[in-house]
Amino acid sequence: MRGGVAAPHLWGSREPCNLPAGSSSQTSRKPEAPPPRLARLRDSDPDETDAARARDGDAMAFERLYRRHAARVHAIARRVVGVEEADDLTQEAFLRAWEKLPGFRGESAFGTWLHRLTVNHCLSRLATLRTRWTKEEPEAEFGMDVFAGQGSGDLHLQIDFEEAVERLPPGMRRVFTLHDVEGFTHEEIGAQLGIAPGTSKSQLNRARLALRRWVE
Amino acid sequence: MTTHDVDALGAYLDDELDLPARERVAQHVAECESCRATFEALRRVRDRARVMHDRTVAVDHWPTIADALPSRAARSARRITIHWMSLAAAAVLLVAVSVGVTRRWSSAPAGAPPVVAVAPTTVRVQRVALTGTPPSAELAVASYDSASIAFRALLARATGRLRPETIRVLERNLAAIDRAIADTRRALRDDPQSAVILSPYLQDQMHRELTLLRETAALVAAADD
Repeated sequence: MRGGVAAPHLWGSREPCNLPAGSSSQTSRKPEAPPPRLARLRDSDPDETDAARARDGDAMAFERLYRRHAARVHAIARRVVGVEEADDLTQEAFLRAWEKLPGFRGESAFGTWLHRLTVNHCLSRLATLRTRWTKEEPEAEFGMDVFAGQGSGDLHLQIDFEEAVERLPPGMRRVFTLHDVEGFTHEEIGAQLGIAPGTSKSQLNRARLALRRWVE
Repeated sequence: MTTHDVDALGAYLDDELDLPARERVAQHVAECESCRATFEALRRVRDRARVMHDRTVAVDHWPTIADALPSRAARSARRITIHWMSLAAAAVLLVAVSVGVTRRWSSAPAGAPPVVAVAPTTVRVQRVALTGTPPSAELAVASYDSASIAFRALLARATGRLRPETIRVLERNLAAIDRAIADTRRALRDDPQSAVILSPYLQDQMHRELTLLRETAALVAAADD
């Protein structure tokens, strides 16, 4: 233990443990390649075809794009902003995509472009809600078990990983989604959410710890 | 273990540590079963996040989106129309000018019906007297001049919306095209017989200017988004 003082493990084990001093010195991380799920979308020919048609005003092609991507767009909105805003944000994201399609040159996959557009739209909404949600989020008050009080018994047996993510405290959920799902860096997240990169890292690891029960 | 230690494991997982710290944590993780278990759990969660399933959306939002599309499209079109209002006329003129110049300055027989460049009402055509050129070609050249004026007005509007470097590049390209067009027109005026050679070149320069018009309008429209 650091300084000779034992500290309990956050996740329940009482085994004393100590990481070497200085192990937290960090270097700024280069942006990594997008998560595999985004990379896979690059091969999506139907998207390219329909995006080109939609760019020319073909609403049916745009509907096909909606059908293929609505679930993902809605999920991003739920995870980044919250379920209560997700429906509106989904509609707005697709309408913005329709408006901005003339500027889509196909340099990235349509899915990547749409998901980035959705994330940016969600972050814009968050910025307008920031005053409200910072008041709503006393993150420090979440104890070692961030799911305490949610359901009864073994929550990890009742809900799946995806739902657990959505039940995370808002700050953790946003950071986890932006970093581990969408591939943003802590610097980007910090800038977008108005928090320090260190706070983003701390939120991320707390979220990961909270979710460990769903991957064991 | 403290939150500080957890953050160190997270930083190790995300490859955010410098080399000495990475080696220290790696050694510790190798020796400490508890930290190794935690590290592996963090890794599994991170990897699981990359293959998140997206639930089907309970509500079909397409009808709402579809209803909004025409109005959005119209709004977007109106915005673009504003940018293109003066440009559309210029574009039409440039095409007409090209055709007019090509036909009239090439070997069109005397008495053939003149090719008339129809000037949209939004652009005032300033007639420029050119000694020795046919009336329709005169009109075509005048129309080109109007298009050029419209383009310069667009550049003036673009100031403040586009980056100064971009404006400079546009102005530089415009100046180069203008010089080429002016030289060609002068040569045509001095030697109408050179039209066979020069009119395609003039047409090409005018098309270059048209392209620049389109690209500038797109840039200004994008800057307004």
